[in-house]
Parts: sequence; C-alpha cells; structure tokens
Amino acid sequence: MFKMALFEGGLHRADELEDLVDDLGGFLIQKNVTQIDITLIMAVPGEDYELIKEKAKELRGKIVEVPLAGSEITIVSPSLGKHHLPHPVCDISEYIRRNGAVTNVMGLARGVGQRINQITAVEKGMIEEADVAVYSLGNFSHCLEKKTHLFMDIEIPVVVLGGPEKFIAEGLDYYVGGIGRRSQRLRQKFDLDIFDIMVSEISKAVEKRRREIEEDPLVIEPIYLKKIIEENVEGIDKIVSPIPVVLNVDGIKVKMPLNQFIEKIKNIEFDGRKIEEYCNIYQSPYSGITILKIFTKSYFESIDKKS
Amino acid sequence: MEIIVEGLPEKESQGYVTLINDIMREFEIRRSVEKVYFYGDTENFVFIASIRIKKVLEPLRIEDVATYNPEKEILSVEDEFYVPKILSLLWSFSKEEIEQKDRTEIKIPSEIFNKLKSEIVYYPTEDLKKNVQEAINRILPEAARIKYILSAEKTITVASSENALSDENKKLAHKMHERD
Repeated sequence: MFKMALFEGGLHRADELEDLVDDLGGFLIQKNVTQIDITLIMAVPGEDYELIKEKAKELRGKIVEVPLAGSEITIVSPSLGKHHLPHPVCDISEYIRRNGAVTNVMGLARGVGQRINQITAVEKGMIEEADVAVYSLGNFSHCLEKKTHLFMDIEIPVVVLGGPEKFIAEGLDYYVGGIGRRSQRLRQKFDLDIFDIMVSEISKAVEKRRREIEEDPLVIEPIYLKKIIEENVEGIDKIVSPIPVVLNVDGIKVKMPLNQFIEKIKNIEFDGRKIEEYCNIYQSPYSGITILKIFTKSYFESIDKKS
Repeated sequence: MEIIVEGLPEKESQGYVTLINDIMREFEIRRSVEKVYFYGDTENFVFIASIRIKKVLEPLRIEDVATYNPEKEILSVEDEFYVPKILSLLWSFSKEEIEQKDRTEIKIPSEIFNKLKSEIVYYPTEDLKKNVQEAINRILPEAARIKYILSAEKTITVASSENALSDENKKLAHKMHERD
C-alpha cells in the first residue's frame, strides 16, 4: 500500500530523495522547481515511509501526507466574474493543491442567478474529464436549491461548497458549509478549519471513485502507466506545461496532441503488449490533450478472448 | 460604519455583513461611509443596497493642494496623487513656461499661477461616489443585472433583480433611499 507524501524544501540534494523513492519502489507523481525551492509529490510504500521522513528531515525539508495525491479535481465557479474570483475559488484551489491534487478552475458561462442559471453539454463534458468536481456556490440556501441541476447530472462525484451550514439535496453526497461568497483571502483559523473539512469530504469523494473502480480493477495501475510513458515517450520533458502527465484515478492525461502521441508510443511495449492494448486512447474534444483511460480487467479479458 | 442587513435568515445575514465589510475594505471607503443598508428577498430574487456617505467634501483647488514659492516660481504639490491632475490642467492652458522639475515640483510663472490658482483639480465626492457605485455592484449578486438606481447628494441606492422590478420593489428602494 502506497502512502502519498508532499515534500517541500530546497533544491540542493533533493535528487537524493528522488533516488531513495525510486530505490524503495515508490513513484514520483509531480515535481515542481521554483528557483531554489522544490516541491515533490510522491507515492511511497507504506512500510518505508519512515525512511523518507528521515531523509526529508536530513535535507531540512517539510514532508506531509497528502490524501488527494493522484487525483485531478475541477473547481467550478458560477462565473469568472469578480464576485467569485479570486476569492474564494482560487483559495480553495490553492488549498486542494497543497493536499496533493491537480486542480483546474472553471467558470460557467451562465452559472449565476436563480432563474437564468444553466450549464451546457460542453461544460459538463469538461467537468467530467476530472476525477471529482467541486462546486463553489453562494450564500443563499434558496439559490442553492435552484442550482441543483448544475451538478445533478454530473457523472463523477461532486462536492458542493456554500454559505449555509446545511444543505440537503437529493443525490448530493458531499456538502461543506461556511464557504459562500467571500471578498477577502480565506486564511483565518476558522477558514482553514473549514478547508480541512472540505479536504476530508473531497478525500471521501475520491475514495468513492476509487472503490467504484476496485469493483472491476484496472488492468494496469495509472501510476505504472505514467512511469512507462514518462520513461519511454520522447519529448515529454519538453512539454511546457508544469504538469505534462496528469494522474487520474482511472488513467492518465498527456499534454500532447493525439497524432504526435500515437506516433511516439508505436514501439513501446509493456509486458509483451503495446500501450494501446491496455487503454483507450483519445483526444480531449475540449482541450486537445491526449487522454488514456485504462481498461478494466473484465473488459481486457473479454477482448483478449475475442482476439 | 454601520451595516444593516434585512430580509435574510440570521446566518445568511451574518455572512452578508462580513461580505459587505470586506468589500468596503477592498474599495477603501470604510471611513467615508456612514451606513450601508442591504435588503435581500431570495424567494423573488430582489436585492436592494443603499450606501450613505458621511459628508460631502468641497472640491479641491490648486491652492488647496499645493504651495507656491513666488521667488523661485516653483509650485510644490503636497501629494503626488494630485500632480498629474495639476499638470494636465496647467498644460491645457499653456505648454510653454510650465515645466515639471521634480516628482512633486512644477515650475510656473507667477502670472499664470495667479490666474489658475482657483481652478478645481479634484472632486473628492465624485470619486468617492464612483467607488460607492462600484462597491454596490460588487455587493449585489452577479445575476441581478436589472437595476433601478437612485442617487442623491449623500446617498446611492440600487435595487436589482434578474427579473423585471415591480413598482412595489421600486417603492421599497425609495423608502430605503430616504431612510435615516
């Protein structure tokens, strides 16, 4: 069982920690270098976690367990107007990132109001490309009741954030109150306490998604697939995006157009099979990046028998 | 500054008081505002915000914000904020003989200064009112785009909704506008 950890420290000798993670059979999920600082998100075997902690201490860095590592979360705001951004949406996004997830922020074209709010099929499709959607809504419970159709048809788990302490809607499993419309940075103690509750609710939602997948497990773990792609696909290191390969609970995303990617993985084999035999590879109709959805074992066996 | 929120349940009122406070701080108008009234009817999606400023400030003239040295023919502006406004005013009169010597010092002949010293460079209340209007727009929900605006010397009131505003709502806006 892997433990997800986030290391923050200096760039000097950080490669020693990367090597240790590799030697212990762990994975580096994300690496961000900012001038002389480095942030590493890694998956470490549970029994060896203490060794990593000791190494981090030796390097005078900070290491914390991050429950959301390995997941991609979209934070949905009713609009991109000043009423919702940068506070609280960007603060929410920052806190989720600090807990290891990759975040996308998205503003609906017409998500505001009671009567006039709506969501388009394209917006739904974009939201469903992530693992969990977090909706940041307003202060009024009556408005929240009128906005349930914005998140009811979404096929991934949804966490709703709003002003009222309690909000019950049919089919909504995760709600966190106390974060409505805000016009200041959310960095007070009580804000951070609410954020901790929010992270625990998002963790539950990610866990729910993982449990759904475990019912019919994936033929290959996304984290292994990520490593194979990173080690074998040429040009991954030249992608300008800060996170060229995004880890999802049921696959990965590579920030490269499909035609280039297909060309590059033609000759890559894993366990005697080609990469495209393990997953469904397609281009996102919205962002143009390549998405790899790993086949489940039952589906994999069924196509294996046919062939 | 006093904030009065009406028409909403207690918890939601408290949230809105915090929000209004933060918006006022963001626009730096807390000290200039006497009272903020906010009325919310979430059932019908009608919101009214009314802001009363403390006092109407007199317009500022060149001689109010700068001191003139007749011997050196130098006008020293007290606050850098007024320099572009003064320069624009002076240069609209004449570009020759008027020269910015330093960040806050302007060389200007005595006869021109005497002619222009009573010219108004800044209307503080107008500026404050613009900020108040912006703050009201931020306080009101984004979807409430249909607006009914009332403006007086010291008070600005805006009633808004996503639907057409009824006469009743307009009457309520007038009532809030004229309230103490």
